[in-house]
Amino acid sequence: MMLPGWPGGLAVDGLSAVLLVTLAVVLAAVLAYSAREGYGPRFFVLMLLFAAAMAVTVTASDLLLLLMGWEVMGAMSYALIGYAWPDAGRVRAADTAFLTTRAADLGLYAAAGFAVAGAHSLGLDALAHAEAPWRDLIAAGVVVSALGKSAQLPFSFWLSKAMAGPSPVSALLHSATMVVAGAYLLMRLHPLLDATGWASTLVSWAGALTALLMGAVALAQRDLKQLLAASTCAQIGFMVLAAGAGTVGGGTAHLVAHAAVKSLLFLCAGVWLTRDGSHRLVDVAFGAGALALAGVPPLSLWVTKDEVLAGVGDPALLVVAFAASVLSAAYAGKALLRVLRPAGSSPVGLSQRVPLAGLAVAACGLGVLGLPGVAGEWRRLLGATDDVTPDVWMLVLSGVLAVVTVGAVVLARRVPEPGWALDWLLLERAATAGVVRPVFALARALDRFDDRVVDGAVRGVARAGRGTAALAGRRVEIRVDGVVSLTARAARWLAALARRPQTGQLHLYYAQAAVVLAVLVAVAVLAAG
Amino acid sequence: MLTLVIFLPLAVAVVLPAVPRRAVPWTWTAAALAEVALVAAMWAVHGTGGGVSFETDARWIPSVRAGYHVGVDGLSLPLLALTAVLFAACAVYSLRQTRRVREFAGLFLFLETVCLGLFAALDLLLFFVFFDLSIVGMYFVILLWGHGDPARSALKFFLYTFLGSLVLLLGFIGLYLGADPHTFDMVDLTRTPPLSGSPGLAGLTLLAVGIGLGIKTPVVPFHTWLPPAHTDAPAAGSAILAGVMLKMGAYGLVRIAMPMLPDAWRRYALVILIVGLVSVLYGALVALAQDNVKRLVAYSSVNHMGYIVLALGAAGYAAGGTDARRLAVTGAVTQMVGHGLVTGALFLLCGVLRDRAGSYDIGRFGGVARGAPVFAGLLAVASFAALGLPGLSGFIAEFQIFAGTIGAGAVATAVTGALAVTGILITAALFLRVLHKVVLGPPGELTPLVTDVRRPELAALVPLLALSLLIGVAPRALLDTIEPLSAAVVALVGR
Amino acid sequence: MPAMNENPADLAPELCVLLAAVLGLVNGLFLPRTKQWRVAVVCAIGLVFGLAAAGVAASRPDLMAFGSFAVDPVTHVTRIAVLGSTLLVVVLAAGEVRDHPRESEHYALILLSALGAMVLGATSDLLVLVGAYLLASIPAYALAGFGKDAPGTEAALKYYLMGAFLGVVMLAGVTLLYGVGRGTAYDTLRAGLADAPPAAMAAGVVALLAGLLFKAGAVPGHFWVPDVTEGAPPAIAAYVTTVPKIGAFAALFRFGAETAPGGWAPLVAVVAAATMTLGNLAAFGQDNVRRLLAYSTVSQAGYLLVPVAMAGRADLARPAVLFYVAAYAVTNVGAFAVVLACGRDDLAGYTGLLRRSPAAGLSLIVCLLGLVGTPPTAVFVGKVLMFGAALEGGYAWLAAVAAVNTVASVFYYLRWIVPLFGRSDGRPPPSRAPLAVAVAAAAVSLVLGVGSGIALAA
Repeated sequence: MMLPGWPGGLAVDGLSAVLLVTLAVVLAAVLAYSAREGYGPRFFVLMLLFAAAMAVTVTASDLLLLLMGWEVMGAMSYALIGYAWPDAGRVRAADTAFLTTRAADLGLYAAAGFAVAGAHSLGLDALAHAEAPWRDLIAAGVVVSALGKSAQLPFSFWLSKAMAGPSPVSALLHSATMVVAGAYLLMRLHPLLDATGWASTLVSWAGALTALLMGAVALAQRDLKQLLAASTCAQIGFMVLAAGAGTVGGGTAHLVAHAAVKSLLFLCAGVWLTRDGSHRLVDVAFGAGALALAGVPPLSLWVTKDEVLAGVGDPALLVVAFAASVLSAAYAGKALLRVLRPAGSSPVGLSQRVPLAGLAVAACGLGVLGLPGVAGEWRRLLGATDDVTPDVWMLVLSGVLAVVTVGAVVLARRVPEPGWALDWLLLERAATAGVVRPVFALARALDRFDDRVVDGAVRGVARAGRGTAALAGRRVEIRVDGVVSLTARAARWLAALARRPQTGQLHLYYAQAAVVLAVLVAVAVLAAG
Repeated sequence: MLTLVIFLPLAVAVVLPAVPRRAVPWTWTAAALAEVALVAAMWAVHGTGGGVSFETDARWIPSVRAGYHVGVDGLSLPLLALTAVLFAACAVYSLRQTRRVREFAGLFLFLETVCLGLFAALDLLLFFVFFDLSIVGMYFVILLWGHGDPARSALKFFLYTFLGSLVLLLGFIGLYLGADPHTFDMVDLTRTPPLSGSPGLAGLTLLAVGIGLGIKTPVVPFHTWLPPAHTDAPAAGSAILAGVMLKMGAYGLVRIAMPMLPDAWRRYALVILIVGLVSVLYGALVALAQDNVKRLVAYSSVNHMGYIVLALGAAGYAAGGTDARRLAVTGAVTQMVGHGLVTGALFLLCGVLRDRAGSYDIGRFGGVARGAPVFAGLLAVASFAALGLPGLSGFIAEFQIFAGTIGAGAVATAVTGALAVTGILITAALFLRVLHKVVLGPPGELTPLVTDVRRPELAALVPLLALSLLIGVAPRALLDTIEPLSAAVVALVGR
Repeated sequence: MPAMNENPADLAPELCVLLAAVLGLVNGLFLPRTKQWRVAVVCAIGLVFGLAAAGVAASRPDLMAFGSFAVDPVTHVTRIAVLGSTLLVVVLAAGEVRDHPRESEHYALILLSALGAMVLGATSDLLVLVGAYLLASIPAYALAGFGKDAPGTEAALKYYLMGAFLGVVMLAGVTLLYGVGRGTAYDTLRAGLADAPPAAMAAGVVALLAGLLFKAGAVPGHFWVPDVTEGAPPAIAAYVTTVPKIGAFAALFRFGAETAPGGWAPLVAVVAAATMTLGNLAAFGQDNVRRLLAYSTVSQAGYLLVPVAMAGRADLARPAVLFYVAAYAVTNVGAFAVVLACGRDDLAGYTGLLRRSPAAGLSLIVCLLGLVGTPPTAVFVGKVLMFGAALEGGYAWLAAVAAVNTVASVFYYLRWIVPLFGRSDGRPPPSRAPLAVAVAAAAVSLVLGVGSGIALAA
């Protein structure tokens, strides 16, 4: 309990446990991989803090602790993305990533306030029972935050920037931390989304559209890491769709399987990026991961994605989701082409081979979560007993689509690359032009306003009050811009005026004293009368 | 005991001329550390209960019922502790000071007495005495040890804040005359709020008190004395000015304005909310446009103090839930402490930058992390604390402020609170900008001059940031002390 | 109504001063020129005895002596302030006129003028008031020209002519008031003025004010202040800007409180506002510290008139006037003592004073910040009471004007303070006796501020 009188803390239930285990496994794999890559202590400290923050996020039972983990995670991602700090470009990328996610995080800050107002509690369980207008506001805040953290539309561009970090960072950030936190939060709070009525629909569509459009973006990318980044957005889109549709079991399964696949792919990409050549194991592992990503049966994502789709009721959503799923097969196929290119050979140490192999096995085999016996247990664990089992036609259809698409891409050795999607739908430019530049312009304008008008007004008021005005006037200490020199002139004139009666000529003193006395008599008469 | 705590620094300052020159900094440091220990002991004795401890009430000017009345409670203790810690940090930081050491130490010890006295005062006149003396003391600090154009900045500071103090005095006299029987005693005034029968006069008194304290806090548009004063003040002076003296205004609002003028406070709560909101957004935006890092931190102080005003305004919405308003007040007090620690540290870090390279222009640095990794680390931690990263003090305070303000339940508080939340995003942007331009990236023209922090500097900075971390991670010790007080304040405002 | 009596012992402090003055004069006739300093000792002893007597009298109940001499708190404070300030001035003057051919007359004149000031503050009868006015003024004219140099003579002449003119006006006012109020004693006037024709009464009050404002150095009787302060010997400058004012303010307050003429508060409030503003504005550009102090005394007179205006309207008015006037007296003498100690009239002459002589520098800082009204000096408490009186009397605008003026005054006091911290250029250290006075005055100012409860309770 951080705040007196506001219960809360850390607690583990089925969903948290699954995420914790996933986090621990991926973290172990990534750190084992990184041990040989020559990073300094700063890297490992930040990675551990990053993972710890995620652990707090998924175990928090109130909004305060959740937000603490949530924000620390964002800050650590900043530090990790900008790990190679002498490069201004990477630091800028880190800035973008942090500021974008923090902009979305504002939703959670506001949601906490709305929760205090509407539910008189910060507990996550209480949110669904908040009073009417507050409940909708809470849901809105939570949804914005989650979409931002999960790099869903329209916040997706920060994930492109996040690629400036080292590969192990990407491997962790894209799989078991950071981006999945948003999806986790939506799944955790799906009772709240359901209670509002509109929020679950909104979330479903946001997820589906992200899956579709980011799939197109992924297809358009020529850089492998950028392709993988966009594919992360798209895959998280399925999880968000699951949260919106209330398919927590399927969404979680997809999350876990995707974590294995994506960390594997990034670690493999890391090997390629840091070395001249490759290694057989790496190629095989990457190939397996890419096929899993494509949704090729019987690999993991084929099963889990269909579990998600089974829960989608709206036919329009389903069409979009299937289209997105075809796109995922296409970009996975495009990634697969990378393996087929001939490359030299380079050694990969045992401490890297083991995690790669382990992740590859998981990427292929986690489809077991969808097996009839296991699936029931899984849903019971997650408390998602009303999840629907995918129909056979759906499994077959998606499997066939995936195989056909991948096959076509590999045979054609090229894919259509929609030009409009190359630059991530111009989202970053839009944010820069629509938000960043205006804010900076406003800041500069206010700065000038502050210098000239506010500070000037202070002295203008001073001018009105004669005494204060005269202060600025005399030569000694104050020496400033236009307003002041004007004030100064006025004051000097006043001061001269005040000294003018002091002529030293006695008859003038007499005359003035007499006049003043006469005035005073008038005042006295008026006052007495 | 409390009187000893308050006047010990002054006593040391008086004997300082007799101390050999080389022992002066150490005497100063020893006195400051003794103060920290004494205040900690007082805190331990007071515990987390309500009410006033260590009360002393001596007659001073009985004909106007003003007394030497001091005591500590959940509001003053955190601020006394903050004062003691910051002054100790400044003493340690200034161990290498060479210019007029004796006078510098004497003046700072004098200021420490003044600040401690202010936070312990339970009499309006006594409060005012310390309030005014703080201005005089800081004037001389800026004038004599400042750089740039110290005479002008110091004069502006003096005139502006002195005007504020006189307006405040008029407000105090209004309270005095409104009470029956006439008194300056805060406890009596709090028990039976003056002017409760005449809303017009109460409003005017609140206006006077509000402007007087608002200039010191400072709130927009009364803040323009702050940036030049900070820019030209020595590092330790800036740290005290921002860390301790800005709190006097906010402290006065909680201690005086809210409990003594509850009706007026409630009636004008919307005005206070809006002033707070404008301070938050305006301070953050103007800070974003600064290239002088000290001006930037100064404007960010306007932003941070704005949160406090916002929260206190929300506490005036009696219709809302009590728990939410308590959260807001607790957050405001926490913010006072947290801001003091973090901004104190930031100004000391700015001082390091100036000491090495003679400039505050962030455009002329870059990549300092290579040559001065410890400095870079400290600056990064302080910046993240200032932008409200959880685990450091700023977050816990701002979270409570937002949750309390929005949660107070009225439309006005929800809207202003939600708008104020954007302040933390702008703050994040501006501190990342500082990190980007100073610490990270390729080296700039002045980067080779920046050597790493020295031992006294490190010894001054680490405790400040460590305390910030402590408050961020384990806030209960602090919050439990404040909580009874904020419950009392909320009840007083609500009556 | 305090008891009536005709016991001369009730006037013991006044008699002490008178006796000291006479003894001093007589002594002076028989002493060689180099031994004349003994007269100063005689006078000082007289003043000390007077202080003691005043102190004893202050602990007794109020009474009325000789039908026109009130012995009440106003009188007590006037006596103590006048005697104390005069004592300091005598010490200051002792160094200045040492071995002067007419040294003993100098002291006697100071004492006689002080006696006038005391009576001025204590009397409750217009005729005695006029007498006291003349007694306080005439020796002061002579003192202003004591140096017999050109500026001194000019100052004395201006002082005299201004005083004569306004004194005549004052006499006319007394006559008028006697006519419409059917008496000169204040309690008679109080009844008489209640149904007097307003125009005649107003003219009479203003004419009476003319004289008292001249003594107080307030608008429109302030013209002499800068000229005399600059032209007269410094000790005398300190004297004329301090001691007669004490009497004048006490008299003004007493008149306002005891006769309660219609329209008193707005009339004096206007004068107060004009005086403080004019004094401040004129002080801005001064590079001569004596002229600066002169205008500062004018503005202080403005603040002092605020509680005078509130006489009879606010409970705080009386403590405000009394405390402020005493605080002002000691602080002002302190500032002049530093000027005398340093022997320089230009601001530049004070550069580095704090290094050269920390005692002088600190005393000056305390006195100047005191004049600003910074706690914990005595003037601060006076100002608080003054603001309180204004607000209590319903004159918030006057309080605001006073506040703005106070802020404005910071500017020129700081102009004097800032150079103190500069580098010393090796001028000779300040002379001892005035320095001692300055330190004593600064200390008293602080003690009076911190211990104001005791002073106010008495």
